[in-house]
Amino acid sequence: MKAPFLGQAMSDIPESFSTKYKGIASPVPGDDLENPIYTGRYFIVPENGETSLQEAVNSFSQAMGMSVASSGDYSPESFKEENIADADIFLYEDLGFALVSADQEQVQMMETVLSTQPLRIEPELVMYSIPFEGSPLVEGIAATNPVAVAAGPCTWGIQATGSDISIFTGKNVKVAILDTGLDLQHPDFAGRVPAANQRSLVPGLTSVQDMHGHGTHCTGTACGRKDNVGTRYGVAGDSEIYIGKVLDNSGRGAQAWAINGINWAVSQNCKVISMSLGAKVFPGISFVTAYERAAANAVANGALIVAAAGNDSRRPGGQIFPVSSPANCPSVLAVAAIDSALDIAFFSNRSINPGQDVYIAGPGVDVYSSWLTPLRYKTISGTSMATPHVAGIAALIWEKNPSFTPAQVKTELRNLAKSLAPLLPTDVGCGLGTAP
Amino acid sequence: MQVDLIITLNEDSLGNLNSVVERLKNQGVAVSDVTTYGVIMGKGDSSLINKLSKDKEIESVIEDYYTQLPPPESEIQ
Repeated sequence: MKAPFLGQAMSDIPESFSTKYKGIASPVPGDDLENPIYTGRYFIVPENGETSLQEAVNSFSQAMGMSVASSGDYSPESFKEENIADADIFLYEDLGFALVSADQEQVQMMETVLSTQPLRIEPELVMYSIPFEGSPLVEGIAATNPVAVAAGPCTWGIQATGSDISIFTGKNVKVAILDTGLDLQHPDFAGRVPAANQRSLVPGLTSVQDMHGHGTHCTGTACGRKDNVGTRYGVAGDSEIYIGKVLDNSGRGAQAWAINGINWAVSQNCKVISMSLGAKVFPGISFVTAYERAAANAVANGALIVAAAGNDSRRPGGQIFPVSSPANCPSVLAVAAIDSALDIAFFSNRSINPGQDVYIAGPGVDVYSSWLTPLRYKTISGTSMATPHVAGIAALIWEKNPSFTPAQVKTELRNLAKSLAPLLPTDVGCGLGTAP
Repeated sequence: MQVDLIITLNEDSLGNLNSVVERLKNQGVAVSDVTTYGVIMGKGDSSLINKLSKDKEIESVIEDYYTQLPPPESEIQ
């Protein structure tokens, strides 16, 4: 049984066996059932109390050579997932369902077979031990701006940045997205990310498959094209996409993974490195030396790093935080978020610590982009969403000026930026990132 | 307690990178990654943070920490 792509799931589930499998089978109460995330494994579940499960499992075992383990072989007290490491199917005899580890082709075969039987196959959901507790402000935003589908020829961010009227598309420019990975099954990216352009820097994970959604969203904004009804949501649709997975499927990552991701992107000769990740920084705190050294090395090798300024602020309450890490490094461009009224996003951080400044702003409220299949698209907010807009624009600048150094691209971003006065430069830097 | 360490050399000491790495290993750092620009990553006892911070060839020693995105259902990412 391959390991699940976990959030904080398995290890946080109570140890008793019965509670354990009930926990796996059910999402957290109150979780968003419309946007589940999956572990990469599947359940085969009987419908209407049918008992043909054993036969179906046997047939899959014989037809596809899948190995089977059964709960009857273990006592609940002694059961550990490691016990079934070699099993492709684990049969929960007393509960009457099975957990399956299979590749996409096998799953499709099973779906075909099971469609004629009173059994269904469904993906295993990742559980989170601590449901997200949004602040009243966050809940307010969620209430007034529900997840929406974009309409019209392009998103507001594409229009506001002038990407829709630019003749440049990032052609032949390599853009690295260092994040939770990419949904490799997403039809909008079919054929655009060969295996050579993928690297997981997360220990224990070999695939860059995104099981969170954040990386797929950011990749879409920077490098995507149009959705399934023709709405454009990506800035640099002809750029070459490089996916570095530096956050695990719960969205968690060590600095070392991110540094290794930067090094990988540089080794692939990427020109733009987009990092929609960060850690909160308090006033009076310096940048992380190792991050700065990695970023400076990237610049010296011809790459520009853009990173999210951070979402720690709650401006209506007067709480404003400094630019987060690693965006606060001198060699990294920090990106703030604005909304469609060109006002500063209430969560966007500010230049507070000396030398750790916001450089530029991008569309970061109600941003529509790609998401995990089967949902495919989602509208969310954050400086994480503003950052890939600017990364895409940098790719357009590089297409127009292939010989530019990172410093020249940085200057051109400033030259092209649209003024956001009377917003403060400490909030939005040189203004709204704008396409050449 | 074993912790993940990120060690950055002084830029003036980059020429001594290999010897510094050997010295770190001898002091109990299980080195996993070494960059040409002087960032060394590995595991070691937490007591090494204070000890290595006094090394004249080392600019900074920190314990690695994790960043965490909000969960997928969060409106703010």
